Amino acid sequence: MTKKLMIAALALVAATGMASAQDKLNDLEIAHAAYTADVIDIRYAHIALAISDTPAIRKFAEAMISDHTAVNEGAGALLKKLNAAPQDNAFSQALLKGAAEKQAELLSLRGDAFDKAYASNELGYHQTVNKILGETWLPIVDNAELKEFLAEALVTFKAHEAHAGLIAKMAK
Amino acid sequence: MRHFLMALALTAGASLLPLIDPAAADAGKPRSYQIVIEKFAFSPARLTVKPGDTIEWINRDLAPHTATAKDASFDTLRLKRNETMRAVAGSPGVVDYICTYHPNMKGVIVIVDGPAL
Repeated sequence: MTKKLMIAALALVAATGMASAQDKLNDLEIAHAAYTADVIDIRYAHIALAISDTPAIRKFAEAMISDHTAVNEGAGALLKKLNAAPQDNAFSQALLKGAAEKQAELLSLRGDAFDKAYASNELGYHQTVNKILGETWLPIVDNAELKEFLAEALVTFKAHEAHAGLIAKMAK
Repeated sequence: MRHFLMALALTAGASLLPLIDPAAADAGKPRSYQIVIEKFAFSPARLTVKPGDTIEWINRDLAPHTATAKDASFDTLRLKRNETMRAVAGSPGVVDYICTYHPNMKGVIVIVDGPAL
């Protein structure tokens, strides 16, 4: 199995494993899970900026911080407008648990090993979250404004997935 | 040789400029152009202008972007959604630019002197 196929397979396994937790979320739980996914990627990016000296990795990490912060600010503004608060849920908790393990792994690495692990994780993470957001959450979101917002966020995240594919190839 | 004069003021909100100002074109005066940043692309990606013309970039995306010349002749810096920045074309030349956050976003400004385009 090629490395690319392995990464895709791992992403699918991760998505399947989370399936039970992300089924039938309501709008506010989806908003919470999307917010949590953003925060996790921002944390990964800060780790990358602390450890990696590779310009392409650092540029990517800076973009992740800039973009995911903007998405979360937009989500916060929308929820304020809707007078609603995000609701914690099992899927958000599963995301945080998985992220804590990945962060510990990343923090133990240095040099090329770190770059390779960070880039691979970014590709797999965006593939997984994008699949869930596009195929599971967007079709069931009730609120039209939240649906529109998440659809636009997905455009951003898909651009990240493509960008992550490039740095993953570079970091091999 | 400077391909661009200093970028002008950063503004937020709706665009103030039409793509082409017909009145200015008729009078042979400098024109104003707008490049929309949307869905991680510059549109139009290639724009031909004359010295003295003004170009405005407006970001319609949720994600912040920049329009940054590879030869450092202009840089909008970080544009949040609906923010704009303008630059005035200087001496003739071809200026490639990118978004520094998303380097696969590419655009080019061609500055040509001579008769009306």
